[in-house]
Amino acid sequence: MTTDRDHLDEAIDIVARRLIRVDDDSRLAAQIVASLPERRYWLAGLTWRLAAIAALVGASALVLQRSNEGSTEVLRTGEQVLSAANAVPFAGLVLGVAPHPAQRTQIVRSTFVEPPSDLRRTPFDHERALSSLDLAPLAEDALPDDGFLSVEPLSIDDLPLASELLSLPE
Amino acid sequence: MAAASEPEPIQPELVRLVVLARTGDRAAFGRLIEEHLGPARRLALAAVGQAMDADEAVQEAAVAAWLRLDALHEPAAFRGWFMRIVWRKALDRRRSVRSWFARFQSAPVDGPPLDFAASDPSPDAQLMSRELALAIAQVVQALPRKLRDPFLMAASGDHRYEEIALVLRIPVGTVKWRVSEARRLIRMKLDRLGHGDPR
Repeated sequence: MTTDRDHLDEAIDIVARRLIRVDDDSRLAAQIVASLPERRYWLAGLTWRLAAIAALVGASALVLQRSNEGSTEVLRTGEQVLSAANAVPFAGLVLGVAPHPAQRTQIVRSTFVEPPSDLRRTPFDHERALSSLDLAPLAEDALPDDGFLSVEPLSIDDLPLASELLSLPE
Repeated sequence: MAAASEPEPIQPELVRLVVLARTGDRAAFGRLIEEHLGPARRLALAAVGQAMDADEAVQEAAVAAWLRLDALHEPAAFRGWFMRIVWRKALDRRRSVRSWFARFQSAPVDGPPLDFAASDPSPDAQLMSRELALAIAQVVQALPRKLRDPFLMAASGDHRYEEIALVLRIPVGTVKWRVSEARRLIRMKLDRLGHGDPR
């Protein structure tokens, strides 16, 4: 660094100090001290602020509590509603109605019939069963020329047919 | 530059005044303010650039310090603590629109009001031409704030590098680098303006 550079540095320092130079002001310190607020007063103000905040919080809590109580009135019983002062017209209306027995209907339960457990599908020979019938042969002259044909009632003693078996599909 | 790196010795009188001020002693607090008024005003002036704004910032800082004195845990650290409040108040003013308009309206067209020949009888100032002084002032004021703020703080001779770092909330090494970089930029611009040789 040359001597000229050193002088330039000194010039820079001088100008920098000049840029932030302040004149002596003996009154400024006294003016600042005179403008200081009272610390106790400030603390008292802080206390008042805290008290106001606490009161506000308490009032808010009270309002919230009351609003919660109001919401539970919906869940009151019928007696409480009828006993309320503002429910007099409704109570009179209710008391004016004659009691009427309630009509109750029995509950009909759906039932279903279970099939017999001993039902078994057994194969059966119907032709042999018919041949086993004891039927008398019918003669031609036995038929009347006119009039109604009357057939004697057939008596089957041991016909092994049953309606359930005949109605069952193969 | 008066910025040094030696630890600052504890001043018993300072601690005593702080303790008294904490109890509400306005006279003790007044003495504290009076002792630190010069550096505080120069610090605020470095931020806002106008003496009136700087004094108002110092006054606001003094009131804030008076009200928050209980928050100062270490009485010996009053100086750095107070300077930090002053700097914050000054920055608030620098950022305000009103202050910006005031500086804009009162800013001289041809540079800052520097009258070395009439008011500064030092030989160095006598050797420096008015043209060079105006050029240096313009170059310094044109520096980025990150460089100009620590440079002016260090140039004031009121603050050690540690205190500047505390006020600006940056590491000490960063403070030293910014001061050195500011000086390098100033010299480079002066060279371009043809002021490489001050004589």
